Amino acid sequence: MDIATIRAGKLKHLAGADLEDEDLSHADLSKVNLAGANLSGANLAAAKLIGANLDGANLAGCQLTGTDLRANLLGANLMQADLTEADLRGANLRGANLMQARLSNTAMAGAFLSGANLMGVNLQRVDLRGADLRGVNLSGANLSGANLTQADLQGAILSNANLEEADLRDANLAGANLSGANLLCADLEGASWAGANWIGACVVGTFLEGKVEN
Amino acid sequence: MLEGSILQKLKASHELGQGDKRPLNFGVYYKNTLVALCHALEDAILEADYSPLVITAFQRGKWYLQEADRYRSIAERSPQVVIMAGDDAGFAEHPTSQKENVALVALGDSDPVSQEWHLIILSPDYTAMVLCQELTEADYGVAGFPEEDLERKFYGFWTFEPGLVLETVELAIAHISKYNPELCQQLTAQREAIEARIQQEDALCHQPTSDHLGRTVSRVVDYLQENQQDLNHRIEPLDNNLTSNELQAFLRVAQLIDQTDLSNPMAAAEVASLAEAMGQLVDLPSWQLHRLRLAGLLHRIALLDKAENRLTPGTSIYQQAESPDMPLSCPLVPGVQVLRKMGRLRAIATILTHQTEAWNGSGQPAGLSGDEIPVEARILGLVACFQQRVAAYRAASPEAAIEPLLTQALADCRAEGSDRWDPKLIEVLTLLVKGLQQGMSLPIAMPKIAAGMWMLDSHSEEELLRYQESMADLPLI
Repeated sequence: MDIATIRAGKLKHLAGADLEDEDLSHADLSKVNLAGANLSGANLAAAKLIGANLDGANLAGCQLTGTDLRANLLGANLMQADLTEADLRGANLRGANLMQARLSNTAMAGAFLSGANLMGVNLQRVDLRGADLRGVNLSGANLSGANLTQADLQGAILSNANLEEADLRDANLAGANLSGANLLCADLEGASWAGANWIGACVVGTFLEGKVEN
Repeated sequence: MLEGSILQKLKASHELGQGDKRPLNFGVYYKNTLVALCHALEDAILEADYSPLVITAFQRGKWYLQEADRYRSIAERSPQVVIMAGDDAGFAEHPTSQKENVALVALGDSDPVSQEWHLIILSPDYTAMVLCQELTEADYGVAGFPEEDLERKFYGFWTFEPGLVLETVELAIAHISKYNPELCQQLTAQREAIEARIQQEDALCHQPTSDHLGRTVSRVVDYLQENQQDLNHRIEPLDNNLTSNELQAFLRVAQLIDQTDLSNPMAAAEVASLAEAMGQLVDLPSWQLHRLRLAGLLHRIALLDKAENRLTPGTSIYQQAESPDMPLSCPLVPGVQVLRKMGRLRAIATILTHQTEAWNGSGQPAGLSGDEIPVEARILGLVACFQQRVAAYRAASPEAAIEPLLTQALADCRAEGSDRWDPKLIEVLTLLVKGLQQGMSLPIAMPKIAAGMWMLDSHSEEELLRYQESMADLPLI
């Protein structure tokens, strides 16, 4: 397989391809089918993957800084990938593994993350407006200063997560597990949290403090 | 939150359902940040002739003693300074404490106010306050009480809003009455006299200006940045907290500008949402959308005028653009120059500077034309003008349905055509208005002010135009 042809985005069917450690930075791979492809350790910095299919692809340790990943990443492995300033708006990340991924200034508004593994990840100040985070495992994650307005966090596991100064206005936290979470100065105006577990959560200075049962 | 503390009482009186008072939203502040912030707000007193009433709470007398020399100078510029603090040794002996217009209130150990940090400045031309409470040992959770003094954490807020400062002064005076009824009477009389002057039209505290509030904000940013440089080993949370407060300073000014414009009190939030929606329709990348949103929130700071011009109404840049023969009486530079203090807002400052350019090159301040004008500035200029027109129509007929007002405002913008606006963007705005009329809704909300940093990234400090470098050298104000 000629890498220059792939970089130019001329090959649309690359399902299952082995592209481990390849340099695909700045390539245009929009609408390319990369389902099940092995891209582990590849450099995709600033590449365009709009509408690409990365269903079940292996992107472990991948360089994805500034990459446009508004794509299908269903069940993809993004472990230890560097997603700094990547664009994941509206991306399908259901069931994806994002453990130890770098997510600084990653745009994730409207992304579908239900069933994804985000345990212990650093999502500080990340834009997650309107994201679908139903049932997501965010235990121990750092979401301080993150924008989670209108996010759907139903049934999410947020135990021991850091939500300091997080913007949770109009978010849905029904049935979420917030035990031991830090909600210092978080904003929950308009949020709903029926059946949420607040045991041991810090709600000092939290907007609507006193209305949440601790 | 400690029952009976001033922060708690103020919060309680702003709970939902308490009349039209806006509920309070808090942020987290490290001691390190609070010191810099308070010094900046205090030093404004030394610079201008405000003669403010100053009420402070220092937790322990020993913290006051660290600041007592500064407070000697402040007392020389203020008719009355009140210091609330725990009664530590030497607290009353310091020469500042001996001054006639400095009143000490020795807080009891069980007084919740002894866990609070307050700086409350009340005068007709300058109001500011920092209102915070320290986390208790339990609030710190598993990490426990920090070892470094500068890493101690507080929560609360700071503001320039005269209404909130007045309310808080009242609560503080009520608290003082338990200790010193005589002082309480005297403070009440002073508060009433200042309140009467605040309500007069020429009071500057609710008229944001470049030479008063702008200068204070510059100082806040300077002091926070100096502190950042002094952090000998960068402690990330402390560093972030300082940056966050630099941004907060600007967002708080934007909030104040909106509050003082009764005919268009949601301009910042509405322009930000419209601009972001336009950006989405032209498929700008996410980092560009973020800085467009932030530029929208801060766009009126560019219009900050000098006090003298505010008192004799000048020509607004919008009017100027409509009658180009009229000389521009409010220069753009002062407001934007204040923003340039913060390096991470470089791109935002450029966007705001050029929001008044025209597509055909006849606009201000640089006469840029076509694609020379940064796309964010083109979008912002158009939606800010559109929003202002909608607000004006709304103010003229408050009972009318919104849809025809949107049509009217859009028609006004379209009538100006491609001389003024990027024709592609006019079409995009038309599409957006159609969407709004068909029930599409835009979330309109000010950001959570303590947490605006999600809008800053490596692109927010980019230099958008090469010649900008020389403009940045212009002296401030």
